Amino acid sequence: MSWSFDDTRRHLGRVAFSALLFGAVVVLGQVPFGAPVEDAFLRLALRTTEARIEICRDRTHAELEALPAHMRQPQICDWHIVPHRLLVRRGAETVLDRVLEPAGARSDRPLAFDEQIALAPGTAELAISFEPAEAVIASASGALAVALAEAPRHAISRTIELQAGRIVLVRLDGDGGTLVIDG
Amino acid sequence: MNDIPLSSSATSRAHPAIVTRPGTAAGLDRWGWRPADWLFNRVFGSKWSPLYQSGVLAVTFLVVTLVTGLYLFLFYKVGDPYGSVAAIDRGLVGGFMRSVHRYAADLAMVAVALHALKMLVAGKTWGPRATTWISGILLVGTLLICGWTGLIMAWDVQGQLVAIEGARIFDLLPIFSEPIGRSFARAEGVPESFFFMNLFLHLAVPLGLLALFWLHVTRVARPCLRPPRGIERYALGILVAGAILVPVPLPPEADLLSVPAEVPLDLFYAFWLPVARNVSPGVHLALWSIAVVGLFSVPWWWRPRGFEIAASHVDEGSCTGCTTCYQDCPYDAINMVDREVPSRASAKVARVDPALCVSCGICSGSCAPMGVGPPGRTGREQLRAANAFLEAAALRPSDVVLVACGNGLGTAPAVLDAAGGSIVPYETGCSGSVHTSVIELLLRRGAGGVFLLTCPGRDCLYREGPKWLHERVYNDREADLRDRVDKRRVRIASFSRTEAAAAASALAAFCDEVAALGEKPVEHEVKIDLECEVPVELVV
Ligand code: SF4
Ligand code: SF4
Repeated sequence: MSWSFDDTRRHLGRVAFSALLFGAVVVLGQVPFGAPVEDAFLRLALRTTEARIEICRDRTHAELEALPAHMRQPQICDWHIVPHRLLVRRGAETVLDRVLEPAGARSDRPLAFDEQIALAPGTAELAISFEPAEAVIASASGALAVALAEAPRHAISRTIELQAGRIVLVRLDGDGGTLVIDG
Repeated sequence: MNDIPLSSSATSRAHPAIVTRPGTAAGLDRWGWRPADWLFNRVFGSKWSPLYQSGVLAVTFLVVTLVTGLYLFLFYKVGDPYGSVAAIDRGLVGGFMRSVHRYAADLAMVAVALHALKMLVAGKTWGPRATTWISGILLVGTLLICGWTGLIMAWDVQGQLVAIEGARIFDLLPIFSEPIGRSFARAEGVPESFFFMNLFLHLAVPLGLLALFWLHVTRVARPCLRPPRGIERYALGILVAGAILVPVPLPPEADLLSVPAEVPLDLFYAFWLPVARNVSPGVHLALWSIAVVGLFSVPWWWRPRGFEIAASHVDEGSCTGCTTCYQDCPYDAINMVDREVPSRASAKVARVDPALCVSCGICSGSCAPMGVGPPGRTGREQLRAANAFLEAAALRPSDVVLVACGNGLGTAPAVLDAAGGSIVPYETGCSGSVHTSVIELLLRRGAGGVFLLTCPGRDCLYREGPKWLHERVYNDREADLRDRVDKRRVRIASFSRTEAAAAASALAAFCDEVAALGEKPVEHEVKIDLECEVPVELVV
């Protein structure tokens, strides 16, 4: 088989075209995405199982008598996941004010919140509170009211430096412990 | 001996077009696929066009990804994902392997997308091919998961974005008891268990890919898994050269307490990130759901209206049980089963599974006694149609009959006009369905030559048409072109739909060759013998 100028030209064309295609793959594989970030961010990532309140009472003698012998538990308990209010202030300005309801079809999932809020960079006096919602407290009575009065209330305030492109993370230490600010 | 009467009582269509193209995508074809097809054929020629090798090239690139991935796995540490990838990247071999791994993964996705588009344009997505389409979409899904987990593995800024935005969608689904997004709400970094799970997925999903791949190719006979050696070497050469000349850079390390201003996106896998950043997770999930449902339901909505596949049928009285159609069917739609009515001809008889038959007609061309084929396209019916054509065409000894597959270039005016000469067009279905007796009949009844224009082998709508035609004409495969036929007067040429000029010049050259051979005697009454001459009698 003899090699002609035409063959060389065709092969060079193929190589050039392949290089072009490969170049397109390289470019599309590293497309710069994003824009200069001017805001600072507050990421609130909270989750707690401590919003669950269990109210128990002793069964009366008559109630126990009415039950089959193997079901005679002396106590009867009922539990609620209490909606909480999450309030974030920057100085006098309210940045976020949200009542968190328990999720799930039976409203039995732990309270959780995970959102990122854009804030102007600079020094900020942050005040964050996370506590049982007032409306629930107001409508509660009896043992529930007592339990709610004793339920943990979380609050933290700190002066921090918010920097453009940086995230300040707010979370609950452990499973519903104290509020912590990272970053 | 079983002679077929070739009476003129047959239908008198001058051009008995038996076009079976089951596609619907004329617009997509004209404005999308065909220009690309033209460009690639101009550069590579249809024999070398990567567009016709998209499926096997995807396999090649995936194998490269697998091999390089195994190498990278040896040095990857879930306890220090970015650090270990950076260390790999610093090494000469490691950096090269990482680049090849990444480019091969990107190229595999390109090849897969082209393959899917090709199937869509050709209408190879519905009827008996629905399973193949659906398993193909599942394969794309698993490939995407491999890609996403791979990007996360490096734990650079892109991986971080993929993980966080992906978690926002997954957390909307009732799959996990704990939101995955919580893994990224930690100042001390992501737990090692997350990377362990990610690595597990990155390794386990390819195993699922293998199982799905088996399902994907199980519906076809003789699945082609490797491109021709030349194309394979060329593709690998480009990949290796590219990885050496343009190594993949490693973006900055992920930082959970920072929002990077700019992230280098691999659009082949992370194409959805710009959407994710600009719409709510709910809307994003809805978009994904629409895309997934839309792609999976293609076999039901992307199909020609009122077009039904007419499955092939076996005339058991003619079948001699030779098994050729069973071997040649590209879709494994024919089985050899015990005869229900015993016969001295054979214990077994061919039977078509209509659920698998795509009506390509290739079995028609394979059956010497002409006992099988889709309705109207068995060898006998082809002979009747050819006879009617000859009656109407009144060929002159210098005429060349252009027998062209209507699924490809066909008898396009661009070919006929450019070729000049004395050419009589005769359009058929898939070239592999043309019975060699038709060629014999055309020549014996007056044609100076027969030019069989087929699609390029790898672009055949029915996978193996040109291959079987070639075998039957030149290599004595049943039903072979008989020795009494002067094969200098027969030519098979393969050109794609965008190579009309090249096809025309090949046709013109053949016309000249035929003219140089001089005239030959014309038979006015032709008897075509059936090859399998065992008398077939049904014993009732
Ligand atoms: S090719 Fe014809 S004769 Fe042979 S098995 Fe098939 S139908 Fe029967
Ligand atoms: S027409 Fe014949 S060769 Fe084609 S798929 Fe059907 S049975 Fe197989």
